[in-house]
Amino acid sequence: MAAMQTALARSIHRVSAGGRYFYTEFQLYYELCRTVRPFLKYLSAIPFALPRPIDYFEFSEILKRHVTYNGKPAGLLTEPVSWVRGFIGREPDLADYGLTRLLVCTDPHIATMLIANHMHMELGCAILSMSDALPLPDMICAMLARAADSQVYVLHDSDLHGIMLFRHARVRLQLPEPVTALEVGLRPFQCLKMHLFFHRTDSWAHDEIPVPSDCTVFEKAWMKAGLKTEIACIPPVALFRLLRRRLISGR
Amino acid sequence: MTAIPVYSDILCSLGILSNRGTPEEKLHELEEHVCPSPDRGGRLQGFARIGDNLSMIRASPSVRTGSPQDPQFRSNGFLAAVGDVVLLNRGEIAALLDASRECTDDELLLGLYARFGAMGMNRVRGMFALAIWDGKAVTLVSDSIGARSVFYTRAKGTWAVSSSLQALRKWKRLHVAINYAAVRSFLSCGYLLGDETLLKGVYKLPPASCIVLRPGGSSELSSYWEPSEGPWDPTDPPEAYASHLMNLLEEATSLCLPKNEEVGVFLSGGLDSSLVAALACRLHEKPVRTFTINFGSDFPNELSYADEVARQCGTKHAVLTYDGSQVVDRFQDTIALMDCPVGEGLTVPNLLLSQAAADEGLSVILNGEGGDPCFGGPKNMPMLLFELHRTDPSPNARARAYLAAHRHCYDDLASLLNANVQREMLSGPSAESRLSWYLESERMSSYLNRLMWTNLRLKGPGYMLTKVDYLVASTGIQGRYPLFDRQIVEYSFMIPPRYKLAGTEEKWILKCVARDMLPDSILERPKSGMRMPMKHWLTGPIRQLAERLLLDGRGRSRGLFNTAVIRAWLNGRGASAQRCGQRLWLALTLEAWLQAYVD
Repeated sequence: MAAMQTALARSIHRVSAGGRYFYTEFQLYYELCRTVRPFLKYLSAIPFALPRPIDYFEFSEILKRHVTYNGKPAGLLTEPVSWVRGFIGREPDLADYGLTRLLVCTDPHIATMLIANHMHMELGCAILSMSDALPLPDMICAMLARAADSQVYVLHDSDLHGIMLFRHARVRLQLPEPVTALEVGLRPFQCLKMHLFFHRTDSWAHDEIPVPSDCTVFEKAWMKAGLKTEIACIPPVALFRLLRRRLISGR
Repeated sequence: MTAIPVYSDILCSLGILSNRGTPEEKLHELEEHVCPSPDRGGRLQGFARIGDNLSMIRASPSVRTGSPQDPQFRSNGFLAAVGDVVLLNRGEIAALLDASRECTDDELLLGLYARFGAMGMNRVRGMFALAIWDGKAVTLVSDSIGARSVFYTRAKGTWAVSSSLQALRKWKRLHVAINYAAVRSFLSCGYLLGDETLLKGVYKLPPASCIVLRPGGSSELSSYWEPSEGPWDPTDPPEAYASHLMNLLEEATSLCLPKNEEVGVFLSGGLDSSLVAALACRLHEKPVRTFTINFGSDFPNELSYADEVARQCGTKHAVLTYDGSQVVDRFQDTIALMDCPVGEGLTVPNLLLSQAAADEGLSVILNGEGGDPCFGGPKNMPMLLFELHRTDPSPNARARAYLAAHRHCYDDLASLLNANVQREMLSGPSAESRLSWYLESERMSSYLNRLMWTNLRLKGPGYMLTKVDYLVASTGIQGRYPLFDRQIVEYSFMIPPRYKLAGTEEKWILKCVARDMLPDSILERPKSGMRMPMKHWLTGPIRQLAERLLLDGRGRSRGLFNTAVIRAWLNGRGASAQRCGQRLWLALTLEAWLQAYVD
């Protein structure tokens, strides 16, 4: 147990990049998974994904113990925050301008984390959780419509549900016509490249959703097996890098 | 009081207001301990006794104006003044005062003050800082936008004022110490905010301000102008605003053009400098010369845009190429010229550019500064997005976001600075409180206008004007800023915000004005800005500079920075490795400045 407490302390330091960034509980969980698998860093040239080495329940107990003795870790975000629902609205002229980019995250905790780390300011985009984006608030729709070549990016977990969410984003979000829907990830091949952890979800749910026929063989196998990698598995710094590349550089 | 006609062309003047000592004793004290910056002027030449309590010491003719006049204060009967004054509408002021054509700009400004008080400064289009003695107190006045600086301090019962911080810091009575709250501002923003300087107890007069300094130690600060919004009619078409703006731009540019000689323009290829170049070519009878910086073909540049503008406008165009070694070689000398440093990578290239222009025999250079704060430039988008997502109602939340949006060292302060420095930083007004004064003000109903006003009042005098003024002036040239003209600034706040940021199109109204003068490629190009290849030079000349200045000698012993963080940045490691080049440059600038002004 002491070893796990030490591992957790190291994970807190790493996931926050030495106290610089906010992070979610699940991001901390996955960082602990990486900490207990130290050999990963020596295999960076080989694409692979691994099953989670620690059960989430076990992590919760370790975290609870840490909080008891050390207090809540600095930078840990526990609850998602919805800015749309509680939009202060003190500045009425905000709605007069345009939006070039919107990022929709299926995980509301990740959306909150990105905003807490000022990524909306750096990326020049609004950030919404999927639950806040269904339906897309009128104000956001109008702001997107005012920009030429506006884009909506979808950041989802790497499972069938996430991939289908992106495929139906235009319809489900009721995007105005000139707005383009683009995918950030996660796709199964990205999980291998970034050496992320997966777990198996209840396969019965996927029997009801057909796997898209235009996916690669590997992706089809991944989805049919009910495998899932969560966005939270990506360390914050790597996630920021991915988003910069995708939203700003367009790569 | 004896009114003595005395010289008023300030560049290194020092005024001492004290109840003690005869004027001769005060002169002796000053002559022992004060000397002008060598690049800006010659030796002390004399003093004037104005009343029992004031001695004003003047330097010899300044480099700035090159005036060969004998050292004399200007006196207006019961007022005497010394200043750094450029009146672009001197004809109008002279007519108003019914003054002779032979009057100098500072005499005219003093006359304006004598008739109308500080509110008379609202009639001025130009750049000035003036110190006025009325027999009882010294009054300092600054121009509307902060194009000229004047500093003041009080030590051991005596006020001292100067247009040169370098001169003021050598005053024997002043205890020179670092203002760590200003260090925090500088590392967070890349410039200083409001009235702060990096020297404790020394203040810079904010723009459009007037301060009265009394012998007993009291002072009274007031503002003679702030821009106001609207009123605007929502049915007004944009063409009406564009048409009026065009008239103002032509008038402002005409005022900035020198008589009967060539003029230079710093041309980056962006909208603002291109517009200024186009207007200069349209209005000036003499040739217009344009200058552009380049760092070599291996790095991204804006040469093609600048070339296109120069070709279309028919300017004599020069492209000046500098490499990392040239920049680093001149770095410390450049920073030593700047009373208020800016953490801008282009300081040295701007100096080299100014020298090139001076070598061509030019006396006036125009640039495009002012377009961004007045017309909704790009730096507003992060703050608009912040406000959209804001859930924290605390008063400083906006200010914290503003500082974070600069992406300098704000988020690194806790790790970058040593513990003793962090404690000292808490004394004095914080950067957040200085920003909140503007960002939370109800003066502007539009959030965009409030952001513009904040940039105009803080970033303008602290960064945009400072970075050009000191560097250009040191080469004997005068920098002028048509887009920062008082009437243009005033009018910009009367334009509906949606015409400044139209959807996501920034400076839309300015583009409307420029549509007939500039190629579409300039109007439609993305804003990028000229940047030095910092990250590339980190492996070369900047690395050596950083190791020498920050990790060795005085820099190390000063104990300001955590050397482990500096090393991590040098090696491109750590969470803040992105933009580590810019962050290192800030640290280098700060250390170089401290070595020039404090050590």
